[in-house]
This record gives sequence, structure tokens and C-alpha cells, in this order.
Amino acid sequence: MNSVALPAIVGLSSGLLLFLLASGLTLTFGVMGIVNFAHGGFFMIGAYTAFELTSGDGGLGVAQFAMGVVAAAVVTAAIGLVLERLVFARLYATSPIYTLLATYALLLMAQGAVVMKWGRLPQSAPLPDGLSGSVDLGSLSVPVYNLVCIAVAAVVAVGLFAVVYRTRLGLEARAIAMDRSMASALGIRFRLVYAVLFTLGVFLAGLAGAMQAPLTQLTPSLAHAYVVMGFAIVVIGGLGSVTGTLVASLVVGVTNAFAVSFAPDISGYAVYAVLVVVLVVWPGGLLSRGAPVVDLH
Amino acid sequence: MHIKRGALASVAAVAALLLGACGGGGSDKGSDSGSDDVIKLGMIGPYSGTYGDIGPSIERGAQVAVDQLNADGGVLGKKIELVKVDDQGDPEKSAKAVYDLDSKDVNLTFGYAISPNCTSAAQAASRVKSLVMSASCSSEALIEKGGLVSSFFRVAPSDNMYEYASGQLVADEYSSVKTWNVLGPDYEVGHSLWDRFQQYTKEAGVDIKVHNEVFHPLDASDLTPHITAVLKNVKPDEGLVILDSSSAMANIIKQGKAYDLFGKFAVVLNQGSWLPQAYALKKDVPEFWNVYKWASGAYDNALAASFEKDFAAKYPDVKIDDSNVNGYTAVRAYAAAIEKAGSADGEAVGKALVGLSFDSIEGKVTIGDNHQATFAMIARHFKPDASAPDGFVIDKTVSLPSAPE
Repeated sequence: MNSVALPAIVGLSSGLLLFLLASGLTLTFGVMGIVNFAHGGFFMIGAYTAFELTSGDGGLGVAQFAMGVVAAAVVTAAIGLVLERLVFARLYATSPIYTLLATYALLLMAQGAVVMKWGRLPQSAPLPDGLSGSVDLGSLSVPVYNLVCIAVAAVVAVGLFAVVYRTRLGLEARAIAMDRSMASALGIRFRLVYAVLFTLGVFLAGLAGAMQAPLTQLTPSLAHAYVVMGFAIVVIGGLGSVTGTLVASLVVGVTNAFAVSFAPDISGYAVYAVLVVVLVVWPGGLLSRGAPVVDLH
Repeated sequence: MHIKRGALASVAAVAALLLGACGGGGSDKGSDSGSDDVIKLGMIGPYSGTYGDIGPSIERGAQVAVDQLNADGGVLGKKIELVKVDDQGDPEKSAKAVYDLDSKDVNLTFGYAISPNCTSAAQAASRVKSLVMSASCSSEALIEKGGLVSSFFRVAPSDNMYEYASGQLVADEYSSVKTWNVLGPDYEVGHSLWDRFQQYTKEAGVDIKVHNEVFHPLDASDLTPHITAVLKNVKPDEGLVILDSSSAMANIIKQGKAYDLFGKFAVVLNQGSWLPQAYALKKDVPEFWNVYKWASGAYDNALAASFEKDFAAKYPDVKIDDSNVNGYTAVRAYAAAIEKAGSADGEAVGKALVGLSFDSIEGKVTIGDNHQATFAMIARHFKPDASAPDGFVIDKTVSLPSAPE
């Protein structure tokens, strides 16, 4: 039983952490059509900011840690909003290649900023004692922080679906994704919607970084390490599909965990095998509708 | 705005390639070829990218050696200067750096983070009569009989040295631990290290059995599936070998904490550089043995003492790590070889390096016919200690013999 349950929980937790990262990416992909490399930079800034806010000589409590994580995500979102106004807003009418170069430049600038502020030596964000142990679920010992990550990701997923399907913002975003010109003609202020969604996406990147920070050594290369997997998930799920991103994150996390447990010789390639199979069978991604436009569904 | 999915996917694919190809950062190639009163050494290593902390670390140790040599009048009456190049940990860029420096008459290079960098740079160096001295990579492939690359030398420990020392440590301290597990990177060096560990442990007289063998992708950030896999059905009298170093080792510690990874085994052995990560982890450093080459006070000689003193004066905010020592020893090796050859010419220095004995932090270092420097290895026992300034202590060090050539 444990041999199946443990990889399942490990995979679920890993997958949902990836969802936090990739969900913001798919928002900017889905509505704005931006291949946003800077997303990895925002993830890294969230992680380092959480490190800054939660590290200290005294003991770290759960409440202080939680506030640090939320504050890190808010700080990152604020940086994202400023950059959206200063940089991205000027790129909406240009070719995707300019956006690509601009976002890559922003990623490098984020790395440079991290080096200037924290240096190249590794840093380690703490985890409060209250979250660093395990709980016994039957005969299974499960890390508390894994359960916290699962809970946070579940809340984010529900919140994201609520925003997309239950709010005026979501309605307008879907309208813009289908036809921006028509949406504008109907009075939808696409630039305002873009700014809000971009900031939300950056908030999610910052939150993912802050949640991941206690589990990984922080170095200026952190952005590269995670953003590639984020892009892979967005492609597997279907460009712009929030549901697809959630499914793809879980597929990647669980596949990886089971491959390591039961087929270690192919575990290094398992995720990429999934990527290849998905792209062959569903070229648009798992939950693509096959429509010729990027849409949020 | 209608955007074709295909177009976006293409942009994403190009973007991914761009991301893979570019590690960021730049290079400092310094000025052109040295004037007659300066000998330039090329420091080629990652200053950005995944291994971006290794380049500056090697350089810091090298700079201390350069300052000491120059204060003593230089080498052959000439000052030594470092010319830095950021290869971003990319093997192609390592080779390009060798060619670039050769075009500026800088033929003596050192640094290089991991084995693909060393291999690529050594092949390039062979074509232009330059030399590559590894201060980090450990692969045996470049120094094996029949595969020796003439342009390649190494002052960092080799796979053989790590595992010979680990085998000795097991025989001396943990001969009762008969069952071993492994967690390591899934590439040539990871498997080579594990094979040699088993070989040398058995040769040292401990007949070990293998339980879980878990290898993870080299670039994996999430190691929890591998940690849970290596813990499968382990008993408290078993041992664990972790073949990762640097940030990967730190990630294993952080992600393994909730599973009490280090508490589930009678002993945990690890090899390679990871001191900078230990200083970051502080009280989260678990109890285990790490085999490498340096610990404060482990070497009792004048150069070791002067190195610690001069390093602290030059870099008051940085703590010494193993890569500093390798950088220092690389410069000392070149300096001794240049003196012996009477020239800084690449070919002449290459000949002088073979069989060279010189003094460095590790004591008397000798470069063998296989171009590998040999010296005693140091096993360091890490232990958490909340009352210590760093949050941990190295409470025991053991000097272990170097592997036979």
C-alpha cells in the first residue's frame, strides 16, 4: 500500500507546486499571448524575498512564515505591475519575438539584481519547526509541508477558476482571448485587463517561489531551473488552458514520482516521454480545443 | 488579437532553446597577451548559470596564490596575472574560451566546473598547445590508461581518490555496516563513483551488499521522489552514500529533512565540495561524513597557515571552501612548473608538470604520469550544533591516503 500511496502523495505535492508556477505562466500565455521568460525571474524574486523576510537569528513561527510567504508574493506582484506598465504595455502591439527578447532581458536583469542584493553564494530559506516534521496517515508518514503545499495549491486552483469563470474580469479576459479587437469594440478595456491578469500571474510566480524556497538552495540560477519545467507543463496542458495546466502539473509530478519508484532506469526521461506522447496524440496539448486562437478555458 | 497556436508554440520552442543556450552573465577576458614582465594564467569557469558560484570560488583561492607569489618576486622574475573568462558552465563555451585565450597568447588555463567542461576544454587545448588544469571536475576518463589527454592536468581529487578514501573510511570506522544504498546523479561520473566505492570498499576488506540504487537527473530540482525511493525498506544498520555535491547536496538535505533521511541510516557518506552550502544551511546541516580535501587545521604546514591568514585578510566576508583550495593549488602548480621549465610556454610547462612535486596547502603535492595530482584526502564529520556560530561543527577530521595511480 505504502509503495503506491507514498509516490502518489509525493507526486501530488510536487505537481501542485509546479502548478503554482505554471498557472501564472499560462495566464500570460492564454490571454496576452506572451511567452514570458521573466516568469522564472519573478519566481526567483519571490523565493529570495521570502528568504529575506523569514530568515533571522530567532526561531521562525508558522504565522511569521505564512506572512513572509504572502508578503513575498505581494512584493513580487508589485514589481510585476511596475514592469507591466513600463515594459510589457509597450509590447502588446509588437511581434512576439520582441516580447520574447524583452522578457529574456528581464530575466537576466532579475538575476543581476539578485546577485547584487544577495551575491552568488547559496542561501537557504528556513522552514518553521511546526512545518518541518511529518504526520502519520495510517502507516504512511507524510511531510507536513507537502500537505501545506497541496492545500495552498488547491486554494489557488479554486480561486483561479473562480476568477476565470465567476467574475467580470474572467469574462472580459476570455472575451479578449477570443478576439481582442471585438472585445475592445464592445468597450472592454483590454489594457486594464492585461495589467490585472499579468499582475495576478506574477503574484502566482512569487507565491510559487516563496513556497518552494524552504525546499531548495537559493542561487541566481534558480530561475532557469524551474521555468523550463513550467513551460513544459504549459505545453503539455495546452497553451492557455488553466485546467490543462492543472492536469499537466499533476501528470508530470505523479509520473515522475512513480517512475522513480517503479522504473528508475527510465525515470530521467519519463516526463519528457509524456511530453512527446502528448504532442503526438494531442498536438495542441492535453486540454486543447483545437481552435486556432489562444483561449482561456 | 488572434494569435496562431502554431506561431506561439514555435516562439516557445525558440525561447526554450534560447534559454538553454544562454546562461546569462558575461566575461572578463582582460587585456591582450601579456607583456614581457607578466605571465598570464587563464581562469576559465562558470561565473553565471547553474554552477555560477564555482568560478568565483576557484578564482578567490587562485588570487591569494597569485598575490603571495607576486609578493615574493613573482615567477622567473615576472608577475603573475589572472585572466578570467565566464564559460557559464557550458562545455562549448569552455572550448571557445581556450581558443580565445590562445589567440591572446594565454596558454596556461585552469578552473572548469564539471567533467563535460574539462573534456571539451582539454580537446580544444590539445589543438592549440594550451594546457587545461582542472580545479573541480573529477572524471577518470581524461586520465585513464589509453585515454590520457596530454593537455589535461588535475589538482582537484579524481573519482578514484574520492572512492579510495571513502573505502578506507568505511574499513576504518564502519566495517560493521555491510549493506549500502546510493543516491547520486545519473550521469557518467555518478555511476563511476558508485562502482569505485563498491570496488574499493571490498578491496579494503569490507564485503558490502547493495540495497537501493537511486540515480536522479543531473538537473533535477525536485528530489523528493528519489529520496523516498532510496528510503524504501531500509534498516537502521544500513549505510547511505550520497554522490552529489554543492547545491544538489543541499537540496537533498532540505528535501530529505521531513523524511529524516540522515537519521534512517547508521552512517551517511558524501563526497565533494559543499562548504558554501553548509554555511547557508547552518543548523539544518545533518550529521554525516563528507570526503574532500580541506578543513581548517587539517593540514599542518606553513602554506596552509598563510593561506588561511591571507584569505581572511583579502576576503573578510567569505569563508574558505574546497574550491578556493583547488584554485590556490592550480596556481602553485603552474608556478612550480614554469620555474622548472624556465618558460611559460604551454608545451614546456606541460612537460614540466609531469612528475612535478611542489608545496601547497595539502603539503607536498605530486603530479603523476597520469597528470593527476595526488595528496591526502580529508574526511570531515559534520554535526549540527545550535551553539556554534555556523549552526554546525566539523567535530572530526580524518586524513586518508591518496589512491594508488
